[in-house]
Amino acid sequence: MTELERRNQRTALTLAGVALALFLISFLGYLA
Amino acid sequence: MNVSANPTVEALEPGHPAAHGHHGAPAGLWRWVTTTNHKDIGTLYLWFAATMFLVGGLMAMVIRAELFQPGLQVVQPEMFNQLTTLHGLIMIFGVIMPAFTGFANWQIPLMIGAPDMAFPRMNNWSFWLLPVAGAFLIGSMFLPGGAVAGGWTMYPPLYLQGGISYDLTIFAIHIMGASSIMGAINIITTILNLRAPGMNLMRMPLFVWTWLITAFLLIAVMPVLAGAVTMLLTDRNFGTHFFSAAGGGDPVMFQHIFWFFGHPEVYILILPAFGIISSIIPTFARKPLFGYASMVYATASIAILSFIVWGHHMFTVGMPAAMQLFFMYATMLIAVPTGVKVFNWVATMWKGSLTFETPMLFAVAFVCLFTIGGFSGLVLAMVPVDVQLQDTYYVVAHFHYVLVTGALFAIFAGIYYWLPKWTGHMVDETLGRWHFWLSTLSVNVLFFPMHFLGLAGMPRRIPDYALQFADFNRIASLGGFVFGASQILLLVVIVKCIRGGAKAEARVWEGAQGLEWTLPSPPPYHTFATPPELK
Repeated sequence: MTELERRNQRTALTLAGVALALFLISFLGYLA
Repeated sequence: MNVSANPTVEALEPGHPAAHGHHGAPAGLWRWVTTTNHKDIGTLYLWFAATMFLVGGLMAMVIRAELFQPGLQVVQPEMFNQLTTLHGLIMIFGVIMPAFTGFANWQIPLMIGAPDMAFPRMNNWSFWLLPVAGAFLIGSMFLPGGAVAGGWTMYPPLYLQGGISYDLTIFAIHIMGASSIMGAINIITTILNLRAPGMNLMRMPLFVWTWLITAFLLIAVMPVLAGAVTMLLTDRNFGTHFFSAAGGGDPVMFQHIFWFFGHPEVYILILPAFGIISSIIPTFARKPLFGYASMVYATASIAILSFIVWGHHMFTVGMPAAMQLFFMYATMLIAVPTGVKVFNWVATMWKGSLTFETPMLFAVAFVCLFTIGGFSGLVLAMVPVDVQLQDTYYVVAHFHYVLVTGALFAIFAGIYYWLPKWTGHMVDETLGRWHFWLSTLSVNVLFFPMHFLGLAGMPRRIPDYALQFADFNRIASLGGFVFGASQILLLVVIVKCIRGGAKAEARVWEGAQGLEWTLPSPPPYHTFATPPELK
């Protein structure tokens, strides 16, 4: 894996993590 | 922008020409199913949007036929409600968003000097989820009980009561949301990591900037919509009571969550339009964009403000006066960065060497007519006025000026502007002008009388109405039929342009600036395999 591919993956995973967190907050957060 | 060489595969790798087999597009239908090429996927998005535009447009024609005169003539009320609901969902999720994503796929790599999107295979997957979701939405019309009929906003308790099509629609929303989130991740990663050396952020074309900000909005709000519809799903099928008052839930909570998504969604639908217009006006004014940096900051300001105005969709639902005042003033604040943009577009044209080819005609119409939609938005932002006008045709007039003469006209402008680059052929200017004038005149005949209908108190989402609304409805319907029919011209223009026409040069428009215009028209299948050098 090249350095660029690693950087792309880091960016994508960070963004996907943010999206997942927002989903969980808006869904499960309501239960809390 | 200066580029050292013509950065095609052919130019950069002598002896390994772009026309060489494995560099060209594979043949046949399988090419489109398996493609990972950003140009192919852009084309797929645009054709998908065009198909959905036909479906959603036909629904609008039936709606306007029913409203042509008082009484029930064409469809029953149940079907009418299904049509208005599906028309909204299809036009938002099936037309405007995919069309802008199509532009993003085609243009962003070309504009920043990238060889493709950062994740080409995910790009393919993002697209191919959409026809599935579209088929679910449209197919639900043929299920027992028909399609969803509770409005595109999906409010409970109506959405807790419907049949199987409601579950299918929720599933479709989930799929479209996943597609949007993957698309947004791809766009952000591409823009942040794949820019050519020298293409720093403040040198990026404004279309790229607006899409970068739009993609962040998508990441922020699509999961919230997914959360809201997931709760609808569990309320409907798994015994939860998030929104069911009978079980101690709160239906109003859904509205808050929905509009926390819904208002930024409005800007997801319009920010890329701002980007397209900001590309076109400087080209045909033959001047650089006035106030580039302020355009970037204005776009970011609009995006940030969009998170604190959702309550203006709910003024009559019930909220403390202090909250109403907060949402009212926050909403009015958005007029400031939007005003900056309109000012900058006009200032770009000021003393420019203006010519009015079809893309510029649509761009100028956008500036004038979108501003009308913006002003009626300001009117609706005032709580006492909104209390009178909510759920009337004034609201319908407002958002159609924003989304049709705003977003859709920008899409038309973008098609006329970049189609010669994509196909290698110039568009038929005469037909384009006919399309422009017919569309622009008829769209005002269609939507302007709706302001009067709303002010007179005609509610939205009704198939029948009191006699005093007959005249303006008839005028609006006539405008609607002409607007609908004139879109056939657009299809003719596009098909003609793909099949042939005058050869387009690399720099299609004399005043066009940017990397995409350094490539031949059409660009080779693979471009910028080696990054261009910017000076």
